[in-house]
Amino acid sequence: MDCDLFKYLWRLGKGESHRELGEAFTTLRSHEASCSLCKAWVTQELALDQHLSQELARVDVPVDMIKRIRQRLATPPTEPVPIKANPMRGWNLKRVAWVAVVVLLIGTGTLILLPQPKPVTDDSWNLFWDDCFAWEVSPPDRDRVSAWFATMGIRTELPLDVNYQHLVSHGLAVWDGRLVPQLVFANPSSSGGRPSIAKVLVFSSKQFQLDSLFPLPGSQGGTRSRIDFLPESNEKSLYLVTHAGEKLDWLIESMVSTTQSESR
Amino acid sequence: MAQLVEEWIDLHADFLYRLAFRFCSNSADAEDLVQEAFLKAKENEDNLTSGPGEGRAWLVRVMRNSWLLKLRKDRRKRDWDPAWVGEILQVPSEEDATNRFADIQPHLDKMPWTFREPLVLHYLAELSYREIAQQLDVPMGTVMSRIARGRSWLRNRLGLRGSD
Repeated sequence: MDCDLFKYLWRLGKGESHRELGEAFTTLRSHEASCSLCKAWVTQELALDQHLSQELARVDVPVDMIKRIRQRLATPPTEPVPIKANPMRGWNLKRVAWVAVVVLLIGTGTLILLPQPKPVTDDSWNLFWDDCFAWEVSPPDRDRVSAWFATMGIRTELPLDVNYQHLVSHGLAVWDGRLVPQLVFANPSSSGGRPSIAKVLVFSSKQFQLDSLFPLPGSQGGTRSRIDFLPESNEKSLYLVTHAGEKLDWLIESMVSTTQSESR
Repeated sequence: MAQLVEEWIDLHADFLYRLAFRFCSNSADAEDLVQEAFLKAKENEDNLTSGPGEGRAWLVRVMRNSWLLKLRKDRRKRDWDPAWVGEILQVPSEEDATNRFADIQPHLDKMPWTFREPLVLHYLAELSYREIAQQLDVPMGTVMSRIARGRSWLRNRLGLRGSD
């Protein structure tokens, strides 16, 4: 077991008494016994945990607080005092209410017409770092990417036969005024020193007449980019892949790639 | 059932006060929160159950909700900084001063609420990551990362040993 994985699982299990980890618990224990660095790390972690627990609990409780709580619970709740009727009250309230409504309408209109720049808050930074952490701990798979598109209001069938471990980015591209899901894959270990990049656009039959995509145009002059379809494209979803002309065996898991441009 | 609330006061009042103080850094507010939690327990005494650990979890949840409601009412959650609020708007009582300048509190006061809340719930209320995730309605990974970063924040400021 890798030391980083050990630390991650140890922290995960810490909140659950390690029992819920099942078999992984045995592996954790054996790694801890065999790795002196991790053993020392666990000792430090436990010491820090204990220190924080003790420090946080070090608050002096006020004398007689319990007595005061009991007194308050024993006091019956007070009845609200009725407000005396004031003949002018209703009239004034009506005027104030009308003025408030007018001010509110003007204010709302101004706010709508003049959008204010938004400050970058701590909360937005927290969400950002949470996303970074989540991506590092477990990069998104097909289901999570599909779920993300669903939150953006796009229901889509993503390709099954591609290696999502190479996914580096996902988002929406604009194609002829419509939003199209886009997946970007990269293979850092490709030959030639530069990473291979492949961009996959997902065309749905609900958005486009898929027949009109045929035949695929060849490469335009001045660009090295080539376009192909992923073999698993079907009548409901067409997966258009843009790449620099290298083989796509690192991307397509089944390796059955009959490229459109080769057939031409 | 009234006996159950009495029992809870004896068992949990001190713990609840410590938690409230770590939330709001002020003994008067902390005691108010504790009293409100027990008042709510009394109002709901017919629906309360006496299972192991249930009283404590129930009181923590109610107190946390009251505190968040108070923050929202005061419209000060975003700009909330107990360090300067305490120093500028109030003259702290002797008791406050003792607690305020205890080792950890000034650092805790400066910690963003998103880290502070799960950290206090984990180390003081001894809730598991799963229980905190349920209370805060966020994924467990988020709870883990917030506690890890809050812990790292405190460790650096307290000059303690350890690693991320």
